[in-house]
Amino acid sequence: MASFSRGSRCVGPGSLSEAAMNVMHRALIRLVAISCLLVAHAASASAQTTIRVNVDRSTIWTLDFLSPAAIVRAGTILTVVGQRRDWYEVVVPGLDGLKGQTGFISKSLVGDGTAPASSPRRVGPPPAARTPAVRSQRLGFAGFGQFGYTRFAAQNSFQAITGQGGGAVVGGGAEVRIGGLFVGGSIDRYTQTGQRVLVIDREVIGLGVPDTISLVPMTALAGWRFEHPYATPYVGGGIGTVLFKEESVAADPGENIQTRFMSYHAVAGVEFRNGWVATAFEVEYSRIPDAIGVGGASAAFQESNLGGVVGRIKILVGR
Amino acid sequence: MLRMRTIGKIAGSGVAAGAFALVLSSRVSISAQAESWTPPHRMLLTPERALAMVLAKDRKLDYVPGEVLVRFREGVSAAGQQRAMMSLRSKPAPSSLRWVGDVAILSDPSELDATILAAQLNDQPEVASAEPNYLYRTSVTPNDPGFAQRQWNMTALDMPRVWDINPGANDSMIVAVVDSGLTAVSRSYLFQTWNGQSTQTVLVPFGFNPDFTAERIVSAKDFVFWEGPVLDMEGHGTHVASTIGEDTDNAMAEAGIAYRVKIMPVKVCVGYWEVQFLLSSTGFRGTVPEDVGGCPTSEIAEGIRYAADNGAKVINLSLGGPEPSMALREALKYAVGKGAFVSIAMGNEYEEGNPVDYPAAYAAELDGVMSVGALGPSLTRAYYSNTGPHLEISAPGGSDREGGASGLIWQSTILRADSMPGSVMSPRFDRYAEAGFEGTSMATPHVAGIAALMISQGVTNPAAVETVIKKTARFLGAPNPATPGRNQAYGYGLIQPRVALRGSGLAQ
Repeated sequence: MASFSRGSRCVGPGSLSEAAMNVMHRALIRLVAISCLLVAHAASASAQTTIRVNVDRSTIWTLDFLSPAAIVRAGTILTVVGQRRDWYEVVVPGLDGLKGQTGFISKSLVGDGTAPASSPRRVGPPPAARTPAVRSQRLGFAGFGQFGYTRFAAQNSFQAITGQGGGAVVGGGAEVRIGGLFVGGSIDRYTQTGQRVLVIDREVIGLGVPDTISLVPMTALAGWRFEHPYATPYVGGGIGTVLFKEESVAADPGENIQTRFMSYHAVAGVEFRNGWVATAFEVEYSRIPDAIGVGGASAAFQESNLGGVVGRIKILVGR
Repeated sequence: MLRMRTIGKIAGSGVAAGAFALVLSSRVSISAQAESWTPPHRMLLTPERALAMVLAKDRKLDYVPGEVLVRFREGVSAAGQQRAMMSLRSKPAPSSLRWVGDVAILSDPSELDATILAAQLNDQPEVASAEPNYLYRTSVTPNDPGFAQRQWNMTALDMPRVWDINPGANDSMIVAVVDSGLTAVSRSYLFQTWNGQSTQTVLVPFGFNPDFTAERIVSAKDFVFWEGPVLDMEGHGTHVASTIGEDTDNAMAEAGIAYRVKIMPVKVCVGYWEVQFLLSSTGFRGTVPEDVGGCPTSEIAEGIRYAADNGAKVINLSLGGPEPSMALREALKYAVGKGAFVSIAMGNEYEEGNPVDYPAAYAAELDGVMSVGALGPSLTRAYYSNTGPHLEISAPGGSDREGGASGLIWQSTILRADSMPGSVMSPRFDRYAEAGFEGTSMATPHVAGIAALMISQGVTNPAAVETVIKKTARFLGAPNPATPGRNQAYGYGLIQPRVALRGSGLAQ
C-alpha cells in the first residue's frame, strides 16, 4: 500500500544568529523564507501519487457515495489525493462536469500495480509492476520497422527526374533506452525510376530514357524521451552515411553513379505504447550538403543538398 | 495533259530571244521541226524557264532572268498592286502573279535583268520589297566512289550508342528534304533528249531506292519540274535523304541516322537532265551546260511552307546562294512557327572568298533554324566549309583532302554512271549505289537526322532543339573571348547526339 508524505523541511529564521539580524539579513531571510515556501509547495505537489486501475469498468464514487462519478477502464492512471480505509480518494478523470473533482475508488480495484510516485517508503508492489514513470529509469531495448514519405530539399531536381519531389521510404532499426536517453541506429531505402531529362531555362523536357535513383541512409541517433503514461514525445539528432546510386539505360559503367555522403539528422516524434508494442509518429530533417549540384538536373536547378524532411510511422517492439 | 510547245512557238518571247543568243554562243543549234512529245503530267518547268536557266548559267547570273519576288505593303489592294506593276515595261496584270504566302512571283519576259525589275518595283510606294528570284545551288561536291573506310561520320557521332538510346526515331516523324528530290515512283517515262546528232525519244526508267522502304516516303511534292511524281535526276536529294534515314541494319548499303522516320521529298531544284529533257522536247538541238539548273528561291519558299503545312517536323535545306531573300526568310519563320526545325548548309565557298550564304545566314536570328558547317574525318573544318559569325554547329561533311575517297560521306544514291551528263545519252535513274560526296550539304542532314531523333524523344519545340544541340556540342577550334563557347570556324562545335539524347540525370 502506498503511503504519503507532504511538505518539506526548510531552514527557518530561528537557525540564524539574532546578532546578525540587520536589515540586509532580514531581507535575505525573507527571500529565503519565500523560497522555502515555494519549494515546500513544489514538494507538496510532487508528492501526489498515481495509481493504476486493474479492473475494467471500475466505478469512482462521488464523495457522498450516492452516485458514480465516473466509470474507468483497466489501465487508467488516477491521481490519489487521499485515502479512507479501503478507499482511495482520487481525482475524477474524464471530460464531463465532474472532471477535476475528487471521488472514491475501492483499493481492491487498483490492487497491484499502484504505487506512490514519490513515496519515501516503498511498501507497494515490486519494481517490475511500477508505472511507466518508474519504468523509464530502467534499461530498455526496442526494434522497429518504419515507413514514410520523404520530401527532398532538392525537390526541383527530383521532380524533374522522377516526376515527384519526394517518395516513399521504408526501413528499420533498433534502439537502446537508458531512462529517458535513447541511442539507436536505422537503415532506410528510397528508390524511384524516372527518366533522364533536358532542362532548358528551368523547363524540363523528358527524354524517356529510364533513370533510377536509390538512396540508402544509415543513421545513428541519440536523444531524449519525455516519458508520459499515454504518449512519449522524444527528440534527437545524429549523423550517418548515405549510399547514393543513379543508373540509367544505355549508360557506360562510368556514367552510372555509386557513392557515399555524410549526413546529419534531427528527429522529433511521439510514441504511443501498448504493452510491448508501440507506434511512433516521427519527423526527421536531414542534411546532406554538396552531394549533388555539379552536373545533371541538380546543377540546372542549383540544388546541392540531398537531404530533406521525412514523415514516418514506426512500429516498435520491446520496452 | 499539256502538249509541249515547239521552240517555234516560243521564238517570239524575250526569254527565247535571249536564250537563242546564248545557245548560239554555246555552239548548239535548234531544230525548226522537233518531234512532238506529250508529257505524262502537267509541266511546271516551262521552256521559258528552262531557257532562262541556261541563260543564267551562261551569263553566270545567280537569279532566274526575268523573275522577281515582290512583297506588297500591308493593305495594298489589287488596284494598288496594278499601279505598282505599271512601272514595268510589260505592265503585267495582278492576275498573272503567282503567290507563295504573302510573296508574289512576277515574271516579266521583256526585262531579263531581274535586278532592274526589282529596283523598279522597290521604287513604288505600294511595294514593301522586291528581289530577283535567286537561283540557289545544292552545296555538294560529288566524287566517284572509292572503297576504303566508310561512314566514319557515323563513328564520329557515336551513332551505334546513340541508336542504343533511340533506334532511329519513329514513323510518326516526318523529315522534309527540300532538294532535288527522292524518287517516289517505280516506272519509266518517255523523254526527249539530244543524242549528239538528233533529238531522240528515250524510255527513262525510275525506281525507288531499295534502301528506302517505299512506305517511308510520304507527301512527295514537285514544285519545279512537273505535277507528276517526284523524280531525282541528280542524286543530291537522294544522298541527303539517305544520310537522314536510309534503312539501317538491313544488310544493305549504308546506315542512316533516323532510319525509322518518314521522308517527305520536296523537289525544288532542277539540273541537267530536267532542263535537257524539257528543251529537247521543244526542238532544242544540242546539250545544255552540265551544271545548268538550280533551285529558285520562289520554289524553295513554296517547298518550305508546303513541308511545314504537311506535318514535317524537320526540314533539311542543303542548298544556298550568296544573295539574301526575304521570301526565304519569311518562309523559314513560317516553318518554325509551325513547329518545324530547319537545318541549313553553310555553303562550300570558303576558298572562293568565303561569302555569306543564304538562307544559312538567317539561322543566327531565328531560333529553331541552324546553320551547319562541315568537318572532315579529322574533325577539323573541311577546307571548303564557309565560316562566319552566323555559323552555329558543325557536323561531318567529308573532305577528299583527308584520305581521298575515304574522307567523303558515303550514302546510297542513284548510280551516277547511269546518268553522267556528256557521257550518257539515254540515262536511267532506277539503279542505286553507295556514293561518296562532300559538302556542307552532307553535314546538314546529319543535324536534321539528329533533330528528328530528339523530337521523337520529346524535344518538340524547334527552339529547344537548337538550344540543346548548342549546349551539348563539343567545342572545337580556338576559343573566341568575344563569343564564349563559340567561334566562327565551328560555331558551337561538333554536334554530339548521344549527349543530347541521353540528357541529364539527377547528378550528372
